[in-house]
Parts: sequence; C-alpha cells; structure tokens
Amino acid sequence: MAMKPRQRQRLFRWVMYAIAAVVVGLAVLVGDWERIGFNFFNLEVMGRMFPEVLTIAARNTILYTLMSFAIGLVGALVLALMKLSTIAPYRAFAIGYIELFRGLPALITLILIGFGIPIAFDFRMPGGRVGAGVLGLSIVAAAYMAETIRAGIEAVPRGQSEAARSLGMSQNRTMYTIVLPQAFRIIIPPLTNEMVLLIKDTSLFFVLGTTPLTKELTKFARDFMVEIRNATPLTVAALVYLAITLPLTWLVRRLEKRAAVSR
Amino acid sequence: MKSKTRALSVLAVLALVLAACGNGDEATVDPDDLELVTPGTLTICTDVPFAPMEFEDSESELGYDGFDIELSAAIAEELGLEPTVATPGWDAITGGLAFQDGQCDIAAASITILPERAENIDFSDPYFTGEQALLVKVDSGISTWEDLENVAAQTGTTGEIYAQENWEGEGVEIVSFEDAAGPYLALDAGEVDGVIFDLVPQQDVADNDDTVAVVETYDTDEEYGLATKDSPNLLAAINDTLAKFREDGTYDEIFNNWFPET
Repeated sequence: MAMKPRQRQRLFRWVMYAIAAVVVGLAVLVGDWERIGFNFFNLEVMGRMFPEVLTIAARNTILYTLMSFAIGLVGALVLALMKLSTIAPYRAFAIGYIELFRGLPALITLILIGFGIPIAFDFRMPGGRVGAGVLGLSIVAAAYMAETIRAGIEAVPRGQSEAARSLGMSQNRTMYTIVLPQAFRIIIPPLTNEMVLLIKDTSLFFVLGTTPLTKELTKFARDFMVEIRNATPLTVAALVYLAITLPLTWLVRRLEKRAAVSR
Repeated sequence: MKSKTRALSVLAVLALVLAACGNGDEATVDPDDLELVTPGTLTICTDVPFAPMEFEDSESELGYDGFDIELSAAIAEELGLEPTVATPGWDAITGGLAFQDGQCDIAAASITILPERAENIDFSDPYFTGEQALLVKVDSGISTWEDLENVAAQTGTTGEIYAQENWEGEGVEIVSFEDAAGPYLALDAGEVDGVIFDLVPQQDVADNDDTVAVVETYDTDEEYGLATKDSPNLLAAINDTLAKFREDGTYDEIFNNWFPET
C-alpha cells in the first residue's frame, strides 16, 4: 500500500508539473492577448524608440555602471585592506563606512551626495549631476564590494602568505603579489553579482534630474511610456537590460570554469 | 492665524453636514449612481507637495490640506459622501491609470486642462486659472528667462512643456525631476539657474525663503480642472456642485482661506 520513496518522489514531481501547467494555461486563457499585445508589445511604438534607446539610454546605463563599478572597486579594495589592517583607527573607519552605506538605501545616498554636499559646502561636483550620481553609486558599491573582497582575501589559505613571508617577501608584497591575485579569482562571481545590481541601481539617477541626453534606460522608458501612454517602452527597456546582463553573466560563468581548470 | 480660521471653517462645514444629515437625506444625487471605488466614499487623488493647493498635513483630518483638498472635500460632503485622499503619483493620475486601477474617483491636483490629457481623463469645468512662473536665486542677478543656461522642471508638468516649447530651442537646457521637490534642491545646490513651475506654489516658496524670488510670470491661458474617468454621472455631479459653490459663495470662502491677499 505504502509508496516507495522513489515513487512518492516521482508522484510529487508530476503534481508540481501539473500545477505549473494549470497556472500557465490559466494565464494564457484568462489574459486578454489583444490588449497585452497592444500595450506591451506594440511594434509601432518599438520602432519609434530606436535608435535613441540604444544610442542614448543603453549607452548611458552602461557608462554609468562601468564608471561607478571602477571607482567603487578601487574604494572597496582600500576599505577591505583597512578593515583587515592591524591599525585600529583604519579598521574603525572601514567598519563605520561599510555599515553606514550598506545600511542606507542607495536612493538616499544619491540625494545626499547630489544635493547635500553642494548645498552644505557650496561645491559643484565635477561632471555635474552625472558626476554626482556616479560618485554616489560608487560610494554605495564600495561598501558592498569591500565585504566581498575581504571575504576573498580571508579565503586564500594562510599557508600562501606564510610561505611568501618565509621566502622573505615583505607584508605588502605578499598582499599584492600573492594574496590579492588569488583572492580576486575567488570573488569574480560575487563581484559580477555586484555589477548586475549596479546596472539596475543606475535607474535611480533620475532623482538628481535628467536632461534628454543624460537619461538612462528606466527613465527613458518611463518618459516614453507617459508620452505615448503605452507600456511597450518598459518591455523594450527590460529586453535591453537583459541584453546587457545575460552576456555578462555568461562571460563570468566561462571565466569561472577557466579559473576552476587552472587551479 | 490662517490655520485657525481654516479649522473653524472645517468645523462649520462639518456642522452643516451634520445638520443636513439630521434633517434627513437632502443630497440631490443618488450616491448609488456614481459608481464609486468605495461606496459612500469619494476617493480624491492628488499629488503633493504643491502648496497651497495641496500638501501633506498630519493635523488635518484627511492627512492632506490645501485649496484643492478643501474644495473637493466640500464637493464630497455636498454629495453626501465621505471624502478620503490618495496619492497614486502624478503620471498615474494624468495618464488615467490610477482611475483604471480603481485608486481614484476624482483627481484634484491642480491639473491644467490640456487636450492630450483629456484623451485619458475627463475634465470638469475649470475651477482655477493658473500661470507659469520663473523662480531664481536672488543673488544670481537673473531677471529674465533669456539669462538662463538651464532650468529645472517637474516631468510632465505644464512648466516643463512651456520650457520645451519656448526655451529649449533658444539654448536653455531643461533638467527634469520626477517630483516637485527636486527642482528646488537642484536650485539650492547650484545645479540649475532657475525653476519653472506654476505661479501659486512658486510664490509660496518665495514667500517662505528670502534667497529666492519669482522674476517672471508667463500667461499660458491654463485652467485647472478636476478630473474623473468614464464616470459621466460623477462628472455631472461635480460640475453641478462647482456651479452651486460659485453661486452660494462657498467657492469664494474656500478661495479666501488660501489666498487671503487677492
């Protein structure tokens, strides 16, 4: 009477398949496909978005991401080394910084950097609003990536640095030539994760104000949607985001494989 | 001083409504015909901050206050309905989405009546005449829009449209913000030379801040309308009530509450 574990497992799996099929079937039957097509997959609207969605919006998204990532990575490295330092004030600073900017929503950090600093110090950011946005996002990214890098450094076996030290390498040389290169190989996947998050965080740049030439994908799509009262621009933006993130994650999977082989 | 009179007038309106209820139902419209989001309640959608037309006020019963709020709440009470206020976002209101989603019965958000907006929402008769104004830092020495290098505006507002149509071609860069606070922060931060927006809230900002001033106004023939969507009975009831308020002095009373000097 009682089912064998394997039978039970198989039955459970078929029930899951059936539920999924019912959900998809219901969505197909209940959805008003003519309206969905008109509102989300309107070819005429799609045509009107090109080429600006690529030449301006996607370009800006990629540009903002790369700049924020590069600056953030340098900041993160410094923070990670400070957090692992034997000097207490360095550690305290790194901990304070990381906890502060990991704890704040990126939106608030952007507003504080973009408006707060210029108001408080009567200082204009180089690069204007875009510069402020990139700086704000870099600050946030540095806080997150610092923890990733620290974990990577700690994941390198102690024997590596002990061996280097016993060969007479200085502490700094050990860190830069032995530990960090190995640490970075370990943290490439989580760093890519950070970059994918960063790509989406550039959509927060709108709070600092936009001009037609500085809009990134989300703002571009939203404005287009409001102008023509059709949600197709969001679909197009979503596809462009995927066109950016999917190759990136694919590339990283390949890098990971190669790293695994060479180890 | 002003808030005290306002509180008194709200009390007075409440007293009237209570009295009306006590005398039996005298509402001229059958609330069942209005197809409201919540029966018996008029859900008023607005977009804040836009003082003194609409702004958050935790001390007010509705959570919001201002000319639009007081006027639409008075309309609700006149129709025998309980007013409540929601803020689904400017684009959702003017694009009609907030109505389709069942978030609003009417919108009272100083919405300028524009043909392209009328495609999405149904406007009432105009209830207010608006103008656009340019606000700058006093110490910037800017006295006309021709001195501007760039100007801040809220996305989708008449101010942004006016600047796009009249200034962008002359080399003024338009910096757009999603909300009404962004332009003033950017002005404070020195990111922009000026802010273009409706005169009423701009004047309110200038009255409360000595470092900024309204230097130019632009007559755009714009009139504000309340809005509904696909609910002709409600629209008719609103128009009737607006006409009645204009006749019996209720409109002037509310207007004087918020614009005492004019």
